[in-house]
Amino acid sequence: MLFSLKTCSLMVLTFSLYGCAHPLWRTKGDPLEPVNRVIFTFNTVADKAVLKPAAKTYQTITPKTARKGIRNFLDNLQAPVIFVSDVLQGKPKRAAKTLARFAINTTVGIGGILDVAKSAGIEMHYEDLGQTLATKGVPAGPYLVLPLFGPTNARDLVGLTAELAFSPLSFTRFKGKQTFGRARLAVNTIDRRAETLQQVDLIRKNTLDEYVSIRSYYEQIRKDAIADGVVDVHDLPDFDLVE
Amino acid sequence: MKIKSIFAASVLTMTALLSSPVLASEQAVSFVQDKVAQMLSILSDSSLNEAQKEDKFQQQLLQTADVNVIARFVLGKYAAKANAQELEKFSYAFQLYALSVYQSELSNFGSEVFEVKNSEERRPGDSVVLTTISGGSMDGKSEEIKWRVLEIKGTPRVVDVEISGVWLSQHQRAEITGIITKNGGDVSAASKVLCARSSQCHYNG
Repeated sequence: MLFSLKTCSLMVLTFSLYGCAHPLWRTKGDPLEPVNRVIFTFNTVADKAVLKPAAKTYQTITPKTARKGIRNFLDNLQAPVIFVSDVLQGKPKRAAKTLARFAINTTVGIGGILDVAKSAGIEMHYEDLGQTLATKGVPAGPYLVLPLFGPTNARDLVGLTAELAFSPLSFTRFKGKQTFGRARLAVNTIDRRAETLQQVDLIRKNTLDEYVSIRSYYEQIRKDAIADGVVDVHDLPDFDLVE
Repeated sequence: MKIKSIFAASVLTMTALLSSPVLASEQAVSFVQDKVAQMLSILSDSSLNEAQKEDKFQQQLLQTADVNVIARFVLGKYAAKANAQELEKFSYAFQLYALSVYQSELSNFGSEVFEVKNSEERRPGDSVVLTTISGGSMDGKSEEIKWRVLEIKGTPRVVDVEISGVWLSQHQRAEITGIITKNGGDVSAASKVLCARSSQCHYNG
């Protein structure tokens, strides 16, 4: 406990000093940029040292079919959150699909390992409480980079915290629940990283500023998810054609 | 006779006004269809070596996209503050950088199936064309790609592409303006950074 407090104090002090010493440039929507950049650098080092090698090993030793089963299982555990988000967003058809998928895959799909619902024509879609808050007009708030977790914003962080309450783990009791929770988090993180090995390498190769690049990707991808992938062409920016 | 002429002219004008958005949108669709087909055919042409492929692909990209318009866009608010010389140098460095980025992003494609789904007009001469790409390197998946097509000097040109929810020109604007802001609003700082990324770029200034 003492160690944690000391570590926290040191981190706060380091970030405060960094913030003071940093030039006075700020980007709109990212008032904590100096602090975020420090955490981003830490995350990048951790990724290169631990997560990326783990993801590569996972990809090498786990057959594609097994990885698919693991991804299906993890996605199925997310269904209650998606269902609640669908309902709160007033999308009954999508909520019904999520419920049907959860029921079919949990039973016929052996706990979600097989995506039987997809074979039956019920495709998965993704929703979360951060998106739900956005559809209710809650602003994104400042962009945040969390240690080890990565990019988010104040609204998505609130949504993520609330999601813990809707996770199946929160309303079930069984022996080894804590271990299962940790294993789920670890496997989910490694599997997601394995899925994006090529993309992240490409970003790192082409980027002019990796921090800005990831922030831009995060903001655009979240905006697209909130709109369910539908582009309102009138929201697109104008191009200046003056020569 | 005069009334007849006025009536005919009015009908023609009205028809032109009513039909031009549709025509413009159709023009954008056929432009995207043609250009993507040509690019995929270059990428899948086994008779070309890597250098020839790269050269042909880059020429095709320059005929498809308007790099000068994109360069002004990615400068954001700094475009209005830059002088003509700064703009010219930036456009030069940006073109070389953009070509290498698109080359590396698109070089994995070739044997995919490309299909136009629909198009939507934002305003006359400004359309978004929705396409899907599947097969080949797509690993059994289908990906939506959206193309922003503007009519520039009477010719359609792509100015932005959206893949997996990310508009590339908007993304590049975030990166470029980030560099300029960090350097106190100096556009040449971005030109130098871009130039440093290309062996073909010779920037003096």
